Amino acid sequence: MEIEVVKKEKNDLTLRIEGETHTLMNLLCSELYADDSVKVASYTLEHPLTRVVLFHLKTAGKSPEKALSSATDRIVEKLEELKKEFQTKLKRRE
Amino acid sequence: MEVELIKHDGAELHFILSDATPALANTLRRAMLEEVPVMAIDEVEFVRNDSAMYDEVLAHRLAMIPLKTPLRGYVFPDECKCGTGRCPKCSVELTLKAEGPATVLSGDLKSSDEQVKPISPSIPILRLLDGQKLELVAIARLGRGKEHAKWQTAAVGYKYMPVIKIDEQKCTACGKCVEACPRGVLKLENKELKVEDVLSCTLCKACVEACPTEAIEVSGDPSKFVFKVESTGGLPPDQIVLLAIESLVKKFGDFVKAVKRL
Amino acid sequence: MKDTWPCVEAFFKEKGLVRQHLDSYNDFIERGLQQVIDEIGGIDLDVEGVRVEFGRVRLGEPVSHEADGSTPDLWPNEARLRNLSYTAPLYLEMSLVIHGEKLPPEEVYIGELPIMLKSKICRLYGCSEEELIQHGEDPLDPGGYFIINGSERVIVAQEDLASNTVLVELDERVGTEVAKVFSSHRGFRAFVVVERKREGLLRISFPAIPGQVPFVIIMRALGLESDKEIVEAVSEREEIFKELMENLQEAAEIKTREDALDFIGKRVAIGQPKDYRLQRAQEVLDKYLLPHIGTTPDARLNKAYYLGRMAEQVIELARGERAPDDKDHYANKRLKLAGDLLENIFRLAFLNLVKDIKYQLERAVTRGRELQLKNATRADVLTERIRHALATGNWPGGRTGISQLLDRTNYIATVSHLRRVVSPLSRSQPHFEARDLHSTHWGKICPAETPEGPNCGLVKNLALTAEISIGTSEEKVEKVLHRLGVKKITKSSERKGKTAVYINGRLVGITDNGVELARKIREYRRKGELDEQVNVTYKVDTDEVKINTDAGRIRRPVIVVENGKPALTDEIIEQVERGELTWNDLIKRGIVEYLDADEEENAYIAVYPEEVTPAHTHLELHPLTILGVSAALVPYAEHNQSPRNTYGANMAKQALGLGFTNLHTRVDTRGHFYHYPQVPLVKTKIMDVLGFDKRPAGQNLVVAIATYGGYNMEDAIIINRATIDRGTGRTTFYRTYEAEEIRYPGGQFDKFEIPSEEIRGYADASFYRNLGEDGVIEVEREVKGEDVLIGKTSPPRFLEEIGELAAAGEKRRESSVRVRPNEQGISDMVLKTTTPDGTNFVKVRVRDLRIPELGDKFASRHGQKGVIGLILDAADMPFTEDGLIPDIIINPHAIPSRMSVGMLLEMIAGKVGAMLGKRMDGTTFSNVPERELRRMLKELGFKHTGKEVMYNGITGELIPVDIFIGVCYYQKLHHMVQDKIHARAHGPIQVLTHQPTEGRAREGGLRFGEMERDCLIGHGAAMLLKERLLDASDLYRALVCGKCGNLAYYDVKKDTPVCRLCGEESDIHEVEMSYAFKLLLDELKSMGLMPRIKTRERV
Repeated sequence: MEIEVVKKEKNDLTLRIEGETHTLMNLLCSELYADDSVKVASYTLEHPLTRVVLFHLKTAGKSPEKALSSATDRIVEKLEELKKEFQTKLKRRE
Repeated sequence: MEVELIKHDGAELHFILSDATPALANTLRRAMLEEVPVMAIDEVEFVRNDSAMYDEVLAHRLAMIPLKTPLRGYVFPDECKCGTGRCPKCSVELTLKAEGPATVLSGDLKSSDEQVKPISPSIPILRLLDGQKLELVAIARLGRGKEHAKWQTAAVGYKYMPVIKIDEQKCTACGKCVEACPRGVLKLENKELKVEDVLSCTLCKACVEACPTEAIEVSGDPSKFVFKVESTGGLPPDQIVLLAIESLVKKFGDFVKAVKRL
Repeated sequence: MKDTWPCVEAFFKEKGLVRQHLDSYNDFIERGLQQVIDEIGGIDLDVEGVRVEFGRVRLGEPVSHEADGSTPDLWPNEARLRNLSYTAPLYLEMSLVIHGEKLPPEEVYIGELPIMLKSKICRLYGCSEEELIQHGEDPLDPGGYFIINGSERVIVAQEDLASNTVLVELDERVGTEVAKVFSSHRGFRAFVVVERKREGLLRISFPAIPGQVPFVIIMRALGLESDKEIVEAVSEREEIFKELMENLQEAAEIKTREDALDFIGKRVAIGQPKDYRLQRAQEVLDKYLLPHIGTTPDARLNKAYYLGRMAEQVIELARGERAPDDKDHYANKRLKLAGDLLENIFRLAFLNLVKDIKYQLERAVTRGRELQLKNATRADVLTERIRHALATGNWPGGRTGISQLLDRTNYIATVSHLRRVVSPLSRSQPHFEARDLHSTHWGKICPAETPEGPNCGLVKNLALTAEISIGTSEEKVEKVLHRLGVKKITKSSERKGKTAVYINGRLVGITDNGVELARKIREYRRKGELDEQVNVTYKVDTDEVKINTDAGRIRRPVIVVENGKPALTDEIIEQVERGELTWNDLIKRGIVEYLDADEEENAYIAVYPEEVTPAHTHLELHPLTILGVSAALVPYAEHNQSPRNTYGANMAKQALGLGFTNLHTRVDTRGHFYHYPQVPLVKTKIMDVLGFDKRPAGQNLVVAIATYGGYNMEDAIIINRATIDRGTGRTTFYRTYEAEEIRYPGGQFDKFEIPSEEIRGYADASFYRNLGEDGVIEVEREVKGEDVLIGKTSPPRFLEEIGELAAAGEKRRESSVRVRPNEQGISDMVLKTTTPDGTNFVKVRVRDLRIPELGDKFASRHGQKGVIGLILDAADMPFTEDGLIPDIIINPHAIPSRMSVGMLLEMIAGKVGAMLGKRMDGTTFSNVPERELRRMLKELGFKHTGKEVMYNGITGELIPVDIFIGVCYYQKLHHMVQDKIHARAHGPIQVLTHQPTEGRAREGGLRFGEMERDCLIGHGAAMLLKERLLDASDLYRALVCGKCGNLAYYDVKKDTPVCRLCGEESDIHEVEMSYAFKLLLDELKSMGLMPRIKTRERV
């Protein structure tokens, strides 16, 4: 994963990310919107044949980096919870 | 978030994921398709190929043979310290030596690691006529479905949990909806319409279209997902789900780290 | 009644797919060849008393003639590989007759005749499947083509107007009515015209007579001297009689036969004595006027009656009592096949040979040498004539494109090519009526399969059960007619009130009851007493019985119906199914018979068994038979708008697939094969007959019809990346290169070797890296554009200037064969052999794996073509609850205006078939009906609409609209972007004009044409225009002498520009011009004009 900062102004961040697809970006943006301080969280592919993403984040109140890290924390938390739940249910089956 | 297992036999795993969002469900599905590492033949060194099948065609066929993959023990070639992609930590050698007349099967491949071998020994690879010889070394490596379909571990799909509401006031028990349903979801019992098998419903709404009194309502719950995971054989489906989740955790972790470094 | 399809299968089992070619050629070999020899009979030398008589002609077995003189057996594939011609030697019995004494006959070798594959004299005739494979042939190859110089050539059926048939029409240009006849006899075609000019005067024109001759005069010359006789010969009606008044008056001076002959004689033999004139006139009338009636004096009366009939028709046309003949009615058309065309060429070539032999013998006599027939016969004359015609496609008579390179793109393309019918009409003219679909095409010519563009309607294809008559003897039929009471007539007066009986346009007699006579003939035919090639019809409006026995008629089989009952019963169908009865049995028993266009006119043919009433005379064999081979492959075609079926039929011929199984023994210049061909889930019945299942050309794909991101607009296709990863659509492309070590006159020769560095034109060593010691590339090496495949050096060209430092005995130059600049691949096969001249000859085949990419063209069978617009990752694809994703997503906009409902039905049928694991019958006119398909779909748990609930692969959300998804057979067409992509900034230029070369293969430029020029003018972009037309093209800086306006040149030694006329000191200026302009100046100079350029200071 290569990330390059395209624009960084007060609370307006645009990143160019190489090597990621909708798998990461869709969930990320969806989770970012759960945060009230996030005004804009969106992404597009530079071109459907490339795996290069342009990601735009605009916040009010928090810094974009803060919003990002808390969003990813929440995601990882949910994923860990899912994993545990899964493992539990699988054990029960046996 | 809650998981309820519905079916778990052999290659298939069905489960219900509740308290989630479409984004999460989809990301999970995509991770199972694209991100789970599995072994597949990635390079073939030909020593001798007398057959009518060209090297490049044969190599493609070998690549498409699903290989059983151990859960731990290998690294991705681009992460491996050897740098060559040929060391025992990042690759497995499968050799094939055959002479016609014969049909060469996947079982004829001899692996350097017993745990990494074709999921079935009876997959036909090619035919050799009398006197034709075939000798090659195939190198299998870890990879992700993202890069090539040979590394795709499963077919995964889901649907929103079907919610069928019957308005008993409006329902005349005419049975038209039961007839219209292609999946046998509805049943007429004692002049009362009942839902027989809600999980079979595909949300096609044939019943809604058939009902003369608008007594039936079908919708999907976007917070509950019925998953169907069917493995290609390289990894068991439950492991695929867990590995998928693991890969996502790593992915998001790497992302945050990369952002912080900026 | 049961399904009659087994009978159609029996038809193909017996006849095969290219019966017309084989029948025609076999007939030529067995009958035509000897007939031509017999026609010519012998050679009369100018030498007194010496003659040559011809006897039997014999065809040997195909052999090759090697340099060492040996003649080993030649099999077709060897001819393909070594660029030989698959021919057989011809031997003719000739005997010298000297002063009446006939010497014993010798068998002399007169030349080579090309052999049609799988004909009776082909070595492959009667070979079993294993034997065919042993000889390197594909057992499913239909044969019916020739091999000339290594390439497979088809003699395509030529559609022509029928000979010996009178057609009346209005000649638009001149505004008069004409009756035309192509009178054909023994290969000689005489075009005879009876024209009615203004004021009702009738004129006749025919070969050998310049201009036109009045009708009455010819009639008199033929023997009808009195006015009464002439009028009777034309018609019995008084109104017509009035028309002839003018003509009779005009010819009042010519009263007797002799007068008339003399009139003619004055035209053909001017200035000759009267006796000679009369004799010549008679010769001309016999030989060149209506020769099909006869070429001897006793045919003259009949000719007169024939002309009378022609006159009657013309007059009727003028009076509006008769409509002009329909030239597009298939009864008036005949197809010329390989046999007929070869007969023509052979006749001409043989006549040439005869002339040559004559000359050689006469020469031998004058030189006092012994007469040796073997020495006098130079076989090359004949061999070369025939071979050249077949190789170029140019036949005598100015016709081109008669023989074509066999289309080997895929199996259907090959079969369709062998069933093609071509009209000789000019491609540039509209010819609306000729291009239209005519009702007589029913069952004979496919209504759907025809090219788009200039050839539309002129190039046609035979329908499935169409057959072309070979012809049978007239004599037998005449005998039967006489037995049935048909009387010959000598005077036209006898004709009154009776029905005339014609065989092939020739009047043979009269009868009382035409209907009954026709019925009896039919009866005899059905019983087998008359050849099944005979067709008869009774024409009510002209009261004629017309019998056809000639070759070239398109006919089709139909079931006989008597008294409202078809002769084909369920029992018989079952017998056919079990193999107890063959197609021939059906014909012999009169259950099925062939109808030509004439007989069909008066037949009442029911289409379905339920329709049959006592009024019907016949029943169609099977509705599918109206289509040709390519169109019959389209499933549910009756649900498509008809042009879509046309496009579908045409594209089926461009699909890549498994065209032939002997790939490893063939060296086609370009070839393809599909890695994972599949048989269509939705099949048509014709596939079993055709063997399509053994040579499929496509794959069954899961197709979704949805807008999904916009990359499938305007017929583009979104394709699943995983589908391609798994090998869908992968093909291999082959190209074969060849080279020969040519021996030049004078002893020099080319040589295969790795050129050394001193050789002129030597490129970098890397280009030669894969060559072996013999100069030929090793197998399985990766090669790219410009790499050398065959290293070859050649002697210097003779017209070269000798360089200053080189001695005589020049440097050789490099003439290696390289990979085409835009291509790459792996060297696949190397063939080293020798030509019959003994020189070395090498062929190298390069293969290239073509994985589908953006720009490659695909199509379903319903005229829905499209190019890959996007390759989408599997995860991004819309998915169903089971995780099923489409292979291809096509845009819904492609459906409404095209109305290709057949494709939608195929998708549903395909879905059902895939789920059941069964193939579905989608045969046009007899397929699984829609209602049934929907029912089956529901039974399988799908919604009957074929639509499914799907989820967005990118966002994961439910897609609110259900998506139509099914399984359809898709073909990869041979238009691949890799073969077309082309770009150029600077590059090679033409020698003559210094302008950029043309064509991708020559790294050419794209033409900035007139309309593009107009656009720049519209923008006012003058400088840009100048840049395009001059700077980027042929900008040339010329030196112009200011004094004389002449062009000067730059003298290198003296380092100054010099004007030829004005010397060194003259003021010479450099002027910018296009090289094309400079070329113009040169061209003017070459004509003796002196263009001078006036110069002026640039402002």
